[in-house]
Amino acid sequence: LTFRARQPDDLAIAALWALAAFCAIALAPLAPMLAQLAPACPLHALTGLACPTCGATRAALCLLEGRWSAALAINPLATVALVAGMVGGLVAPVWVIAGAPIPEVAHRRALRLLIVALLASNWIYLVARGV
Amino acid sequence: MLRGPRLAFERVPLTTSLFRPFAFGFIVHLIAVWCDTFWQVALRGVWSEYVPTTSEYHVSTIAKIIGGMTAPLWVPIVLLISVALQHLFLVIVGGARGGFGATLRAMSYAYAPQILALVPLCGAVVGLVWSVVLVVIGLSVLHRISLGRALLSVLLPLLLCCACAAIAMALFGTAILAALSSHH
Repeated sequence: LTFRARQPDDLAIAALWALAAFCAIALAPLAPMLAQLAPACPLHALTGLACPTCGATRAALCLLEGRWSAALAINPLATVALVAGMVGGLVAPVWVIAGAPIPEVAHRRALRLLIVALLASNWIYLVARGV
Repeated sequence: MLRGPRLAFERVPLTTSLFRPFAFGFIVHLIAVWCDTFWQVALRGVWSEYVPTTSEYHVSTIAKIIGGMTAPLWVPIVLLISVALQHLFLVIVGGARGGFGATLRAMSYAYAPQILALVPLCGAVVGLVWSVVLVVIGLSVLHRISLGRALLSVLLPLLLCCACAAIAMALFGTAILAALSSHH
């Protein structure tokens, strides 16, 4: 992980991230009803196998009810991503406005391998658990 | 954008504010959601005739209307999550040369055909397919990568799921054959 100076797009990305986080907070009371609108997983419907994002909606609903362990059990990667998304949306604008250095992954190959490993292990977990 | 997408994407400035492409994508997506909701509610009799749904996937009309009314709040979330996921797959295929901003610009402008949701029944589907084509062209131009690599990043989730399904079916078939041969 390396750090770089602020670039023109950084503030806009941080502001949009914050916008999404605040929209999510505003929608929280309606989440159970809106969850009905989430499209059914075509892979699960066709094969009975979970796709890498299966259970993400249920994990989000569990998080809103404060059931952290249940959310982690349903889809660990989606739960971590949702929490990181919310926390990042609140922290990123303050971080950028404060002029703090922006973290960046220098080793692209390592990042690629890490992403693939995380997605694959989470997917194996979902399929094995029958989410 | 609709008649000459490559030229249009080549003219997209990479130095101006990200809010302009985001606002474009947001407005087009919002119109598409509202039109889609309107047509689904107005033509629900036709929908149920041509697109039969099981009770498991049935969505009530009230939920659809509330979904449409709250769209200004959830459309930004959907837009940013889809851009983030697409950027993730670009990183995996080694195509994220222009940064997150380039992915956001490409995808926001590629939502233009979704305005076809104004046309009932088939408009939303045609708009979606056309949008996918524009996403591939947009990513290719703005990240300066080949069309093949951009296409791979867009289709990678689908290819992975298809490969997984094929492996599962092959294992299932092998298990059945093994069971049959041991039975004889």
